[in-house]
Amino acid sequence: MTGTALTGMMIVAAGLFATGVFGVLARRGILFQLIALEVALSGPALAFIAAGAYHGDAEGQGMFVLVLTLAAAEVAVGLALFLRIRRSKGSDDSDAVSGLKG
Amino acid sequence: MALIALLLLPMFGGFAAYFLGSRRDADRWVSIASLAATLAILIVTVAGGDDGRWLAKVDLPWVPSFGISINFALDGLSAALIGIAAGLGIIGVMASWHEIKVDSGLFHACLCWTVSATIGVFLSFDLLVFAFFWEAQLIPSFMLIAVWGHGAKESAALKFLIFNAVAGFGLLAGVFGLASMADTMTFNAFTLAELKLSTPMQVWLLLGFSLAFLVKLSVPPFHAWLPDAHTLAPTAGSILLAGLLLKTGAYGLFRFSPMLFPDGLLVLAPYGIALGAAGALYGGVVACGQTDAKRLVAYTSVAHMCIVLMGVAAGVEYALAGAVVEMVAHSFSASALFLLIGALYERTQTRDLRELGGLQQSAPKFAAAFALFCSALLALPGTANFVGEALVVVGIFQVNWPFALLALSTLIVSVVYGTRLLKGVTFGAASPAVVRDLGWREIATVLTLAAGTIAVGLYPQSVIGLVGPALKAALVPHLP
Amino acid sequence: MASLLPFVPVSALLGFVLLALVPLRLRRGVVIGVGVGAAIVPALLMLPVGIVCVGGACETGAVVTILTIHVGQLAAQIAMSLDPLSVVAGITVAVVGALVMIYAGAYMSEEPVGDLRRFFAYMNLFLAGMLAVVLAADVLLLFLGWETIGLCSFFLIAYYTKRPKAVAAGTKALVTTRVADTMLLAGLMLLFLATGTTRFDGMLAGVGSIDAWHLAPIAGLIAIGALGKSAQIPFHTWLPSAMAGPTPVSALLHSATMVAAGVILLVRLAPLFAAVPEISACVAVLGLATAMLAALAALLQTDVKKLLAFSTMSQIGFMVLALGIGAPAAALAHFAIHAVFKSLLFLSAGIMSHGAHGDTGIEALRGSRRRQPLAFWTFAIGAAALAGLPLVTAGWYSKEAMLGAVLSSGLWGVPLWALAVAAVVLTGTYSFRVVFVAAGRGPDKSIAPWEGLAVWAPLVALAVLAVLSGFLVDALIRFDGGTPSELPWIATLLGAAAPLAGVALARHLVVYPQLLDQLRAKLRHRKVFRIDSLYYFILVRGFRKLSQVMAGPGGEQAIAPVLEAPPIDVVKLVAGDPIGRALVASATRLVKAVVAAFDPDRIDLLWMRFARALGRAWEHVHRIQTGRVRDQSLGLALGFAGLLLFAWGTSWR
Repeated sequence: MTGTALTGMMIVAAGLFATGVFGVLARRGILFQLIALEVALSGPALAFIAAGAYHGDAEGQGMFVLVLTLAAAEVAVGLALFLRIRRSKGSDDSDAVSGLKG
Repeated sequence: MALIALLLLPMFGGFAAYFLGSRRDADRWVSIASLAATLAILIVTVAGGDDGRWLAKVDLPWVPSFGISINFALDGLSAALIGIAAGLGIIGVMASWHEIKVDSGLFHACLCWTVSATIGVFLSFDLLVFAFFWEAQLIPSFMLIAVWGHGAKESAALKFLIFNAVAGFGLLAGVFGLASMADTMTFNAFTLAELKLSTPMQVWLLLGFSLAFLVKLSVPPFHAWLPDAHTLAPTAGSILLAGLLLKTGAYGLFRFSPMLFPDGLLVLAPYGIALGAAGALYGGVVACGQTDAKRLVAYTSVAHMCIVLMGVAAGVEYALAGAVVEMVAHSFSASALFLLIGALYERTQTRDLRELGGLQQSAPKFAAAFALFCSALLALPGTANFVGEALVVVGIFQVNWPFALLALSTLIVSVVYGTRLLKGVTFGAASPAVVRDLGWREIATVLTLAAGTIAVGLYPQSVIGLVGPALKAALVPHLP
Repeated sequence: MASLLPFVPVSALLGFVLLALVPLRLRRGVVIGVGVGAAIVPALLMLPVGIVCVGGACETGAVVTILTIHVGQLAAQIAMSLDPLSVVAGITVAVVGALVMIYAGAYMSEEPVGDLRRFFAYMNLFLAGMLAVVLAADVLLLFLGWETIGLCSFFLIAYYTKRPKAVAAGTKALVTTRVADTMLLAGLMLLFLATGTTRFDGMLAGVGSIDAWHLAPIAGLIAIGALGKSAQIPFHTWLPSAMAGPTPVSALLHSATMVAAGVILLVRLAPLFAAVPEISACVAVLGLATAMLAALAALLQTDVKKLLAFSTMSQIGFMVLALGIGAPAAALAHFAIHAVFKSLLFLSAGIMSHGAHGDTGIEALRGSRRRQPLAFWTFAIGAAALAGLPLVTAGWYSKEAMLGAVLSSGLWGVPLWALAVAAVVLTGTYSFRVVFVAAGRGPDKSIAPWEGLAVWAPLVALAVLAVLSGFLVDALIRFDGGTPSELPWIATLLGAAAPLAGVALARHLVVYPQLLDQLRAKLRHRKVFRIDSLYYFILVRGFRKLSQVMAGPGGEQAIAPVLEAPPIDVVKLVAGDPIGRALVASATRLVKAVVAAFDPDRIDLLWMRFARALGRAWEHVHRIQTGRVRDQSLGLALGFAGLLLFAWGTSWR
């Protein structure tokens, strides 16, 4: 893998992350925000793989597995919260849960 | 091991009081028993102590990877203060026998825990543990004010807590800053005292330490928490605040500033003397303007603690001896006055000097006790207060005579507030309610405190001899 | 016998402890018995000590160490000395104290038992303190006693605690003397630091090695302390109002003992003052001024107790004058004689005014010769001694000794002597004015006169002493280490004529009372007073106001009951004092301004404003906390971006 390819990969990864963050900030539906989070997580995951391939090191793939596991755990918790909020607030609008308002 | 027992006995006493509750005064008796046992252990330890610098020492590793250890040491100074702590704890229990009716178990637990944490402060030489106890004593005393106080007790307690907790960060910053200078990870004060720090660094670290000490000592302009807290606290709370908590500030200054930062102290000492002199006059003048008896005594505490500050800052032998005697004297006289005013408030429901009066005829024992302790307040020779103030002033005369004259002028102010309190309470027409004279429990406590005041006043050797080694260690090296 | 010395004050102290600190109910008889008994024992103990001392034990100046306190290298000793000064003063104080207390046992016996107990407790403590002052061989014990008598005088003057006037007078006395005491303490501390010892013998031995620049402030401060306790100008204001206490209090505290403590101190430290002639000169001038002005003020009084108070000031002024010109032995002799006749005057005046229904006005005493002959005649003997009638009274001998010392004191001796003789004339006038008025015709009936040994024995004993002790004066002076001065015959003659002239003047004033009123009116209307010295004039004006204030109805101001609660009581107390009016008025305003500024505590207010500002800041800041997940995520993202930028910036070289 060449340096240019790595730079391209990194740009793609950054774009993925930025897309995800934008999704989290722009959307109000909890489900869509969760999906956007997954997209955002895939950006660093891609960056790990690319960097691992560039350095010929397996740790990059190891980190990818860790990110996947994290994502799975996060989705599990997030979906549970989503169900809980729907049941208590009767909506999937994340603005409805503003109990931390100062 | 005896030292650890000193710390743990009142703590377990507090738990026992909490769980036993107030049935048949079990909580009171168990508190008294634990504090008396502490006192007994202290006396045995002091009597059988080593001859050298320390009477007893304990050094157990606690978190060795961070260099934290249970490093306790007892010398004359800490022994005297621990003795006062346990003794005043007992007196506090006796003084609140009828005053506290709600949650009596928790009250006595808080009282014992305050004493225990204070003993921890007086024993610890591991700075992190010292800082821990320093903060720990705030919590039970906060409870004492906030739950069992009078009037706007919550805000007074909050004020007390905020002032001291914020100032505690200064101590913590100083401790971490000092520890970061060492090569190995340690918080041991003896090890850290060996460090050769540059003078500016010592000054900054000492400023951090001093912030906590001065706020606790209630030196103007950091005294604002004290009048509220003293006035609105229950009697036992006022006694512990005046007798113990203020003394931890004085103890910290006395113990750690010359030990850890001798050069920094030399730089800051003149400012310390100036701050003390100004503060003593300020406290005295404000005390003269008070109409609330308890608040008046609270402001005299400000003045007296400023005299202690002057003594420690002067750093010569007389002044240091005077500071210690003044600490002891203030513990006795302020506690006794708080006790008497508390007892009076219990009977008349007022502390206003304009409404009180006539005790001379209606309650002569009360009046005699007031006369005695007001005499101590205005530094009558023969009371410990005079010995303390005179020795401090002699010491300051050696260092800087204008400030000595300023310090002496506090004696004139003291006669004004002393007689004001005395006249307001005991002279004149009769007070609003018929005042019951002192009961046996009150007489016993008052006589104990009076005996202490007069014994130290006539034979100050009893205190000065005990703290001799500590005093030598606190001398500022480059002064006359 | 020297070892007996520490026990002299102890029995009085025990009396105090028994009466004040033991929480048991005592019956009236027990209280009086303990109170009086404890006060008699010191006199009994002092007598053998005195006999041994006269036998020669005092020559070496034995010192009895009681207690040693170690502070570092220093060993501070509390000790008592057995020397002529302490023995003469000790015997005087103990004997006069015992006699006054015997009298007090009868005088106070009608009081409620609680108040009686308080009275005797403080009287005993006072006596113990005074004995400690006169016997002390070191500054610690001296100052202990010094402050104890100050505080006791407060309690005793304010004995009638329900009278605001009495309480205010007590506070005034305490505060005024405390100001002076603070100076004294400063002086003693400096002396201690300069000589490194607390013992008087060591201090006086070290005086020579102190350079003049240090010695002058030391001597000045100590002199101020002594003058304050002795009610000399400018600290004189507290003594006349201190007469608000019961008569035995005035007889013990404000005639023979407490105000004489300053004299004792000056005698004790006489070598120190001899080394600083400037300060001694100031002391002498102040003493003379007090002697003259107080005598003049006494002449204008209409109240016998006030008159006696001013006469005490005047007599102490004579002693201070003698000390200032360096004749401590004569001053000490006069101290002893004065203690005797002044307490006699107070005690007999107390009985006479009791006979006049408790009225202490001089006019009310008219007719006392018929009503209470013994009281009258003892009063007359006391007045004769006070005036110093030649040959027959003790006062004459001691006063002559002082005047002789003044006359032979060098260049300024003659004018000082002349002024002092003028004061002696005034003394004769004011003391015999009372005698002549009391001898006049008045109502014969008396209310239940006191009888019994306890009343008459002290009077007779003191009267005999006031006459006979005159023959001891020369011996006393030699005993104290002085030499009685030989006077030219013309000076002796003038000195003897002065009191007689005073008596004649008094007779004239009694026959023509309008003269005195005219004098008062003259002084009141600021007309020319035939003294051309400006210095004198200013002080007389001050004194005139003082005497007006004390005598007339306007005098209520001096210690007026305070209706509205003042910021500080003292200010009200010291206010009304004529001499210090300007000073005090400004002080009042200053202190009012200061206290008003401090109450409520300004620093506290600052802190609270800081707390409120924090609260207001929160009002604004809390708006950015919307609680919405999107906004919080934005904050999170921005924060991380900022941190990354920071990390990048710091690692990028």
